[in-house]
Amino acid sequence: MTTTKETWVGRGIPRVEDPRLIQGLGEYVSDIHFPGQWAMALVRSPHAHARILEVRTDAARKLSGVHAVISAVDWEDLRQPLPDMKPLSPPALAYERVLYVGQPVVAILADDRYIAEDAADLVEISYQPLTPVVNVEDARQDSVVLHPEFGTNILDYVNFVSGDGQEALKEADHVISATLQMGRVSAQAMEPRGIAALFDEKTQSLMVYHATQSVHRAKERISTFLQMDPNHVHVIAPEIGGGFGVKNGSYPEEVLVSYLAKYFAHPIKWSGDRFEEFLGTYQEREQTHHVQLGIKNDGRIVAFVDTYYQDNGAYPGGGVLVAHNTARNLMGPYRIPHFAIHCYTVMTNKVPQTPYRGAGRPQGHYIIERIMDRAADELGMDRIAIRMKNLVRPQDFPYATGFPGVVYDSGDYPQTFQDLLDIVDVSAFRVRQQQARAQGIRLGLGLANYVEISAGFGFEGVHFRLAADGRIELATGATGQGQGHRTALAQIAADTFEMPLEQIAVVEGDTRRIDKGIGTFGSRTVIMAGNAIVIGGQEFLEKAREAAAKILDVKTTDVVYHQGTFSAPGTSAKSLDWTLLASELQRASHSMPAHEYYFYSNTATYGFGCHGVIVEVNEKTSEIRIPRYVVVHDGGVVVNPLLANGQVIGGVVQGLGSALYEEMRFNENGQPITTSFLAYHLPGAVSVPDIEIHHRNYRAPGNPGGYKGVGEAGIIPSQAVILSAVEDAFRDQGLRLNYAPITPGRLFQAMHREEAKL
Amino acid sequence: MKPPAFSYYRPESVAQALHLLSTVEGAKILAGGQSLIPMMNMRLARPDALVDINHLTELTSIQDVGDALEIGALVRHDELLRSPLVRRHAPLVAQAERLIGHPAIRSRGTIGGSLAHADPAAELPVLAVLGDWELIVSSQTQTRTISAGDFFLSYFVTTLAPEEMLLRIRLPKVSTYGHIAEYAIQAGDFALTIAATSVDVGPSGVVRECRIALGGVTDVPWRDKTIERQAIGQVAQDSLWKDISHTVAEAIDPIDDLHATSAYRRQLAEALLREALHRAAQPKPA
Repeated sequence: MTTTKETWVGRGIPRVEDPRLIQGLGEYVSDIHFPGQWAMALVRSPHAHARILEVRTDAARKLSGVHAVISAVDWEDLRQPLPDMKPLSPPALAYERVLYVGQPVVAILADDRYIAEDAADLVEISYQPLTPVVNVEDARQDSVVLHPEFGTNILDYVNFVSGDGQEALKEADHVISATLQMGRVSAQAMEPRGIAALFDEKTQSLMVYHATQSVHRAKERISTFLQMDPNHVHVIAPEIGGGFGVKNGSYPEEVLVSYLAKYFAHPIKWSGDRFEEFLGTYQEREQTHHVQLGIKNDGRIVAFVDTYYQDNGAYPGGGVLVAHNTARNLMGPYRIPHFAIHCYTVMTNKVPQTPYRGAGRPQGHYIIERIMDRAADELGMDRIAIRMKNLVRPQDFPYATGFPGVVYDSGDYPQTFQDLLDIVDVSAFRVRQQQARAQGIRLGLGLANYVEISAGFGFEGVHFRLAADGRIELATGATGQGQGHRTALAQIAADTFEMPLEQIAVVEGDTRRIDKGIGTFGSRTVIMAGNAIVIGGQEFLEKAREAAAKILDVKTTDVVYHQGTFSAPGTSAKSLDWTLLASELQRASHSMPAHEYYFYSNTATYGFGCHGVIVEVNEKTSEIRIPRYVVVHDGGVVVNPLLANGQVIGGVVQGLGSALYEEMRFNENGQPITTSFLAYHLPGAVSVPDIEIHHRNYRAPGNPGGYKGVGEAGIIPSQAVILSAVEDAFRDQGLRLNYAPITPGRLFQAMHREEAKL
Repeated sequence: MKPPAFSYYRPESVAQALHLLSTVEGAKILAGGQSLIPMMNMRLARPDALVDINHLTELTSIQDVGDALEIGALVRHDELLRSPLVRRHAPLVAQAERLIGHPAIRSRGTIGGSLAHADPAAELPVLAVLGDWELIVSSQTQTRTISAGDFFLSYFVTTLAPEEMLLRIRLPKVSTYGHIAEYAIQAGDFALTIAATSVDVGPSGVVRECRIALGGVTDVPWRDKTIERQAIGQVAQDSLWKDISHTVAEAIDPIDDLHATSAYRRQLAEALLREALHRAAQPKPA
C-alpha cells in the first residue's frame, strides 16, 4: 500500500447492505417458502414444574390440514438430549416432566401456522404439578431438586482467588458490604428465532435456513442429533434481524425442524412468534451478589470478596459461561491486589440463561462500580476520587488482574476518565445541580469505567476466491445479524488488495462456502475474521501471483502486484488486472486462485472506556429522564466509525433498557408475567437521548490489525451508571439502590422506603 | 400468535351491520382492530364472527350539531387530532390524542372502538366521563343514548349488549379550559395514571366549574362530583389545586399491579391532577 493512498479502514462509509435492507429486499427465514412446506407449532408447558401424566393427541390429529402431532411419549428419537447442553441436556420434547413454562412438549405439523395453532389448542396434556423452585434462595436449599439424577440444584460452583483472598480484608481500614441484584432480561431481537429445513432424498442431504449466529456450530449440532454425516448437512443463515447472543445456542426447535424435515422428507418451517420469544428464548442477567470491599482510609482498594448466585433456569443453556465471565469482569479497570470470588450457578424452574450482549461484562462491572460508589459514600469520599485512586495506570501495563489469563495491555485509563470528566464538565454540572435543586428539580450524575474483553479463544476463517467476474469473494463463518460485516470486512480486504470496495464481495453464513467457523458473538468478528483477511489475504495474493505468472508466461518471482494490477517489470509481458486475470484463467481452463485461511488466537483484546450520564428525576412521578449520555470509548483500530458508533449507540440503548425498564418477572408459581410488550418495556425512541461518542484508538498490541471489540462497549456499565446517577440525584437523602432495573415503580418504593413489593 | 378461524362479514350499511349483530352468533364488531386483533392473535379473544364496519361511511363524520359535536364511531384518532372542529370545540380531545399510541395506531384506531373496548387506562374513556359525553347506541329494535358516566361497568365491560353497536358520540361543546396529564413508562404505552380536568374561572378569579376524571386507578374512569363541587366559589390558586388533589388522592383506592403499587398510583394521581388543574386554570391567550 502506498502512503499517499487513502485507506478504506477508518472511513465511516454507509453499509453496502443498506440499499437491499431498506427496500425490504432482505431475505429472512420468514421469507423462505419451500413449495408445500409444513408449518410447525409447539405445545409448550403451562407449568413451571410438573410431571407429564398423559398426552392425548387424537382430536388434534383429526383436524383437517394437520399432518402430524408428535410427542416424545411415542417418538423415542425425540427424547434425545439437545447437543451442547452438558451436563444436563433437555430432551428435544419433554416427555416425563417439564421444568419451565414454555418448554416444548408436543410438535404439530400442518399446512399453515393457523391450523397448527388450532391443533395445538386440541392437544390435551395431563400434568401433575410439582413444587416450583423460582428463586435461588429456595433452590440452594435443595429441598426440591430439579434434576434428581444430578442430585443438587447447584449446576456449577467455581472460585477464583488472587493474592491473599478473603484474608486480606483484615488489612483494610473499612469493609463495605452490600447485596446487589440484577433482574432477568430478554434480548427481544426485532426478528424472532426461526428455522426452515428441506431434505433432499436423492442426495440424502439436509438444507437448513436458520436465524443463527453460527452456521457451523448449528451444523454440528444438527448432524449430531440426526446422526447424519456432517457433509450432508448444510446450514445457511440468511439475513438476520438481530442476535445479541441468544440466537447462538442449542434450542429444541433447531433439532425438531431438522429431524422432522428428514423423517417426513418434507420441507418444514418454524417461525417463532413474539410470545415464543418471551417464553422459549433464553434470557440473561439475573444474579444476586453479596459483596465486600476492603479499603484503606485513603480509598485504596485492598481486597474484594464476592459470593454470588446466578438464577440460571432449568438447564445450562449457556449460563455457566455467563457466570464465569461475570467473575472475569469483577475487577473492572481497577487495581485489586487481593480477591476471592465464589460463583454459583443455580437451577430454577425458569427458561435457561444464555449469553446476551455483554454476557457477564455488565454484571461484573455493575458490581465493582456500585460497590466503589458505596465505598466512596461511606468514607465521605468523592466518587470520582476513589476511581482515580484505583484505576490501572499506563505504567502498570501489561497488567495482570489476577484472574487467570487476563492481562490488560493498552490505553490510558486515568487520562480517558479525566477526558470524560472534562467533556461532562463535572464542576459546572455540580453548580447546575444545586441551582436545579433550588427549583425542585433533581439532577444526578453517574460515572463508570469499564474494560471490554473481547475474543481470545478459537479461530475464525476466510475463504478467498477470485470470481469469474474478477471480483474477490470472501466467505466467512462469522455470520452477521445486522452489524454490517459485509461492509467492514470488505473495507479490510479493499486495503489488503489495494482495490476499490465494489470489487470485494463478502459472503456470510453458508457452510458450503467455508469449512469451519465459530460465529459472531462477543464482539469477535472484526478481530478474528478481520485478521484472517489481513494475513490470509497476503497468502491469497501469492496464489494470485502464481496464476498471473502462468498467464503472463513469466516466473512468479517476476510478478509484481500493485493496486489491482499484476505486472512483470523488465519483461515484455503485458499487465493484468483481476478481471482480465479471471477471464484469461477461464479461457486457459486454469483453476481460479482460491485460499482458505484461519486466524487462531488466544490473545484477548482489551478495549476500555467510560460512560457519564446525567439524569433528571421527577420526584412526583418517579420518572427518570436522561438529558445527557456521554461515552468515551477505545475500540483499537476502528474499521468503520459509522458502524462502530452504531454498535455503541445500540449497546447503550439496550443498556438503558436493562437499567430502567426491562425485566422478565415471574410469579410465585414460576409463571412469566411479562410476556408481551404491554408488560415488558423496551426503551422507545422518545426516551432515548442523543448519545455522544468520543473514540480513543489505542491499537491492540495482540493482533496484526490492531482491532478490539466494539459490540459491548455501550452496554457494559449501563446499569451501574444509571443507578449511580439516580442515587446522586438523592444524595441529600442517602438513597441506596441495590436492584437493577430501577423502574419508576421501584424508584417510588426506594424514595418512600416502601417494602420491596415490585 | 394466529387467531382461531372466524367468519367475516362486511356489511354495506349500519342497518345491515345491526342485522348481522342480532342474527350471527358470537359476532364482534371490527373497527380499527388495534386491541381486538392482537387479542385474537394471542387467542385471548375468540369471536366466532367479525362484523367489519370499516366501510360504513355513515359513521365517519364529525358534525357540528349546535351545542355539541356528533362524532361517528368510526372516526380515527388521527382525524380527531387534526379536525378543526374538534380543536375548536373539544380541544382536550385533540390534546389527548397526542398521547394515544403511535402514528400507526392512531391512523387505524377509532373513537368508538376505544370507548367500547373500555380499557380503564385509555384516554378517551376518561375524557368521555369528564365531559359527560353521550353515547348513541343502536340495535335492530331500538336506539338509546347512554351517558358516559353510566356506560363503563368494569375492566373492558360496558353496558353495550351483544346485538348493540355504538354509532355516534355526542360531545357537548366546551368553553372551559381543560388539561390532560398522564405518566406512561414509555411514550405511547398505556399510562399508569391519567388525570383530566376542566376548569372554568370567572372574571373575579373564582372557580365557577371544576371537573376531574382519572384513568388507570380503578376498573372504570374515576370521577367524584362531590369533590368537584368543593372547588366552586373558591379562588383559583395553587393552594386550592393542592388541596383538591390531596382530597382526591385520599378518596381513591388505586389498583395494584406489576408496574405500580397502589401507593405509587395514589401519588401519581395527586401529582398529575395538581398539574392538570393548575394548567387548566391558567389564563389562556384569547
